[in-house]
Amino acid sequence: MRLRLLPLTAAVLAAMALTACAGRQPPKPDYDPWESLNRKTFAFNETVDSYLLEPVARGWDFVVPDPAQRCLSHFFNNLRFPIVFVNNILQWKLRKAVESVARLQINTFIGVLGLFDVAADFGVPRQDQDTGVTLGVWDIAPGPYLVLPFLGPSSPRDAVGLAGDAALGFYTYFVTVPGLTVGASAINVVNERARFLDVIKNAKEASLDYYTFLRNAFVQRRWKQISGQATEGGKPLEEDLYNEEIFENYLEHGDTP
Amino acid sequence: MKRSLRTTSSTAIRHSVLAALVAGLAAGLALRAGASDKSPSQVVDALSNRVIAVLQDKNLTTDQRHTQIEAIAYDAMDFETLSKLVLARNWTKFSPAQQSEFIDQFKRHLSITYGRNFDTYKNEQVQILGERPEARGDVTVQTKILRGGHADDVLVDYRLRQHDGQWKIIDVIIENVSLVSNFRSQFQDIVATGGPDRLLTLLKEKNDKGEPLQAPATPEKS
Repeated sequence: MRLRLLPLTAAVLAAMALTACAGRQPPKPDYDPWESLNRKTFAFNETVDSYLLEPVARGWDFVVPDPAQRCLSHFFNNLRFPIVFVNNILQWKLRKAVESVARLQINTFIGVLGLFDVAADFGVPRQDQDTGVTLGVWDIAPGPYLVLPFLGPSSPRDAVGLAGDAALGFYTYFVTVPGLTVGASAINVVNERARFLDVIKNAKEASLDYYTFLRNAFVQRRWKQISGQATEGGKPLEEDLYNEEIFENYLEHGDTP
Repeated sequence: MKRSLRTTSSTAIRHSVLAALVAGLAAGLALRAGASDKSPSQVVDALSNRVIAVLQDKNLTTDQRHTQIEAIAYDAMDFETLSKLVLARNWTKFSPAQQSEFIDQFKRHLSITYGRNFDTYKNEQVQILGERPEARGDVTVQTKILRGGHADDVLVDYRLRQHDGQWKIIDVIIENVSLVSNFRSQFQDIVATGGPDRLLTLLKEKNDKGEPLQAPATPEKS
């Protein structure tokens, strides 16, 4: 176990070196100094999506009925147990850690190997937990917005977090056949894409600039996840978000924005 | 019975005065409530119930459904405040004519794009989780959209602000993503590079393209 945690420790140190501690300040949703590179990566991801992932997901969606898609999603989520459990411990959320053990047991044994999220219906809800969140709770700033090839919206901190997740993942411990890991991951990705076909299509049509739409949604969600773990409820991202008078004040002070 | 017969006239008067006071107070409260003083939760609850009633009505065509939901949403939301918040400091760069044009186009945009989400209604229900007071006297109403199993519930928060005694929605926060913040990010860039006119043109183009999709079974061109 100690050996297994080594990559994580290394990842954490790397993250600390990469980003300055920022005292859990809300990030600015439009802070994007790497935008021109990000937009290129984003365009690449969009191409991969529209020529490969989305068509495959459409086929999958046509063949696999919705309830089965949901079951598969629950199954893969159940396999995330080590990631959720260890990160709860790292954030010293012992109650949540116990809850995640309860979820694993209920869903594996009563929920037929995790195909049904019975625990959620029993009042033990699914937990959004990963190594990137832990790093955030530890006061490590995300750094600039970063679009990763294939993986999408991220940040230097969360990229390191993804490496931590991979090190903690179920496959690292229990699956020794490499082909199986790749196959299972592919099914997971296609299945998740299939479940959000309409949502993503609507989001693309609803936005004037899908790149900015995604960036903002990612930064908002991530901040809420982390500040919600750090303090109950979390803080709003932008202080002036609901201030109608802000623009008038700006004019009074003679600033031209 | 015996006791009441023995009561002196003075206590009887006192009682009747008290009764009148209570009745008056109750009537006053009822009147105030009647004057549309719905609490934020009641506003959101009424909104959800009305929308679900429309969605469950099998006799409506897609167009009729859209128009009815649109009317319900327009009633519950404060589009002027919403537009100001979305444009933030750019609001003053818009002339009064451009401002009202923006409110109209933004309204249409939301109606077209969010209207589509209702076409895939699968008997979802809405549960009000609670209220949370916010800065500036706002209130956030937390809700959950129930979609069968609890694992797939969607969290939707509504932020409301009181205007002339009425609570109206000024932001919708879906799974922790605020609509105001999201549109503000998108619109900022456009206004910065192309000014108000560019944003209005883009919105109008998008809306005109989106409109035919409202009619049932129109194939997409893309």
